[in-house]
Amino acid sequence: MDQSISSEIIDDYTAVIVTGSELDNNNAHEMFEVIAEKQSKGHFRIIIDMQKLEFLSSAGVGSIIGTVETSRENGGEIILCGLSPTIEHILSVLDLDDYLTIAKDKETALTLSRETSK
Amino acid sequence: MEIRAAKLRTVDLPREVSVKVLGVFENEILDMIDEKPDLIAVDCSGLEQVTSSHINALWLAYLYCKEAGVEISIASPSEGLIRVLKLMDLHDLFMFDHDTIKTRMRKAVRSISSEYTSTYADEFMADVDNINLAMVRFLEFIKVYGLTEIAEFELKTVFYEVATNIRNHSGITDKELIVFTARKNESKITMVFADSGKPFDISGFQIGFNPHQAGLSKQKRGFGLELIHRLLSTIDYKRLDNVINVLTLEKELE
Repeated sequence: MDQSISSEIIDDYTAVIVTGSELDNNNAHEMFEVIAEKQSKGHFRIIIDMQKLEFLSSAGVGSIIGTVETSRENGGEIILCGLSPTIEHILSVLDLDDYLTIAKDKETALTLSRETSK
Repeated sequence: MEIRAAKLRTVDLPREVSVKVLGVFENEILDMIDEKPDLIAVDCSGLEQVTSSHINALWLAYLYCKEAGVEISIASPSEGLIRVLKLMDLHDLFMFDHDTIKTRMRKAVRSISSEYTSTYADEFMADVDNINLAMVRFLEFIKVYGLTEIAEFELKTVFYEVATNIRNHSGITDKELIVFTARKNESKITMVFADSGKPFDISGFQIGFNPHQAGLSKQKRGFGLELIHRLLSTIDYKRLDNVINVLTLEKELE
């Protein structure tokens, strides 16, 4: 089980957060704190790289949904990338695939981030 | 959703009663009393030989419970234990439950959906690690069904969300058990969870989730019940003997 959450600053407005293989009740709070910390420093364009993610619980979903509007209110966006079909399925079951911005991979997400951010 | 205060706590009477173990047992009883349960059941099913230390432990438990106004029962006592308690004129102080809480939970989950062949049964303590281990065991088992990756993932998600929900909301401690069975026929899989926590009925939860509204209001919680309901065909809740919660979940398979 890899519940690690790491991050990388791309520029003054952009950060990438990389999940481990699980985002569940045990580390959802940490995910929320990491995103909020980036936003508090002006990084409102946030890419969440889920390439390694194998399990996403409802608490993990909540940790992301609770932060999206903060980025949007500040001209940024939270973009998820590298989703497996099962993770994408869980988001679609909750009808969140329309609400969230989802990109195929990190490079696409970075490009999209520059285009969509104001 | 019905949440009432009535609750039961169970504690195992240790097999070997050293001073240290007795101290731990006393603390468990006192911690449980702090939670103001209706009844504390001391499970004596693990007892092979009855010693004076066991009687002392039960006597202490009785005194603490009496002082706090909490009822105490002895679950699954051996004939030897009953004999010793009678000899010491202590027998009438306790209520006796000859069927353990664990046994009652097992019977409850196995009696439901009895038209199916029982295919999987498990029981695990309600702490995070044991829930995760039980989920891994369940996943290994459902591999034999030859389901799609998505269907397996949905079942895994249901298992995790329900077990975590029980852990977080039924008020059971990490050391108390969740009993689980799964059965499958051609078109659906039935999962049954039982626990001895306070009543917690998720079957009446109303689906009314608006993802955009959830995002706008920066909602962090409340996705679990929504997810459970969207992934399942039916959810049925029963409270047995005002002691055991039984949640029966059905999922249609495509």
